[in-house]
Amino acid sequence: MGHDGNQAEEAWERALREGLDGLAGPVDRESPPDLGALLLLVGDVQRAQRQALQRDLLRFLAAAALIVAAGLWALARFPLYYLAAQGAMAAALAAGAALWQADGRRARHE
Amino acid sequence: MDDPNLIRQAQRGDQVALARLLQQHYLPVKKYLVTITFDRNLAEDLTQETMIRAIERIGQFQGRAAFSTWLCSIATRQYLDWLRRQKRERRLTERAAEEDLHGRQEPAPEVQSVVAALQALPREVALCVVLKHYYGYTYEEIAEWMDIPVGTVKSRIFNAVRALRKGLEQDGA
Repeated sequence: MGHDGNQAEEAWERALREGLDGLAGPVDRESPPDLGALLLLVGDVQRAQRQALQRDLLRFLAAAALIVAAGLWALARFPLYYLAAQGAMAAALAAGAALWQADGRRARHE
Repeated sequence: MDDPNLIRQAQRGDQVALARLLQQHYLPVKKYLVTITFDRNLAEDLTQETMIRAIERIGQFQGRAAFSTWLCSIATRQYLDWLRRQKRERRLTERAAEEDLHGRQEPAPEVQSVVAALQALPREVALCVVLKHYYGYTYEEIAEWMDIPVGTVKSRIFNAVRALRKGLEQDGA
């Protein structure tokens, strides 16, 4: 039974190997793209990648400038509200961090 | 020139080295894709997409596995993305629903019975079987590439191989 099983397994794997070799075999007779075409592709992809990076950096800088400008404007026009908002944010962050640490400790004890 | 030298040069920004590296691996990647997709046209498209992703990520290659294995992992993910896109598109079109009812494309005439049987399986399942039984990847590697639990890979392969072997035995009888 075990011997038959092994033989069946081998026959199946052989059939799989032969089938897939047959399917992929014609690729061996193909030629890869020439170096010039691949060089063009590399150049195009890297250029597009650089442009995307520059676009993301510009977006980040614009968003950061907007936030800083809004903060400075609020500080100049409504200093008390600004300071109160800063204090509230700091307190919320501290509370969040404390809760997160407590959760972690509880999980470790369980 | 050896792969490690080419890889180092490519990672330093040498475009010729990168192009040469891709040229060396182009056909092996295409061959790999033919064996997992069973479709030469799709394999050609996915090979090009794999080359593009490899160009974008060459800086992230750390040499923990062979360069060819790294490329195969990218190619597998491209194929899985393609499968997901196909499923989404199918859900959106009536024509696709009809295709689902009528099953898959007819196997090419040269495709032998085991491959035809593989082609009839859900593609993710066939992919697991080929990666394990043709390429010899471990369950853990397959699970990592496909982003699914190891247990799922094992059960997919176990059930599929049992069904395929049964089919082969019936054909042989």
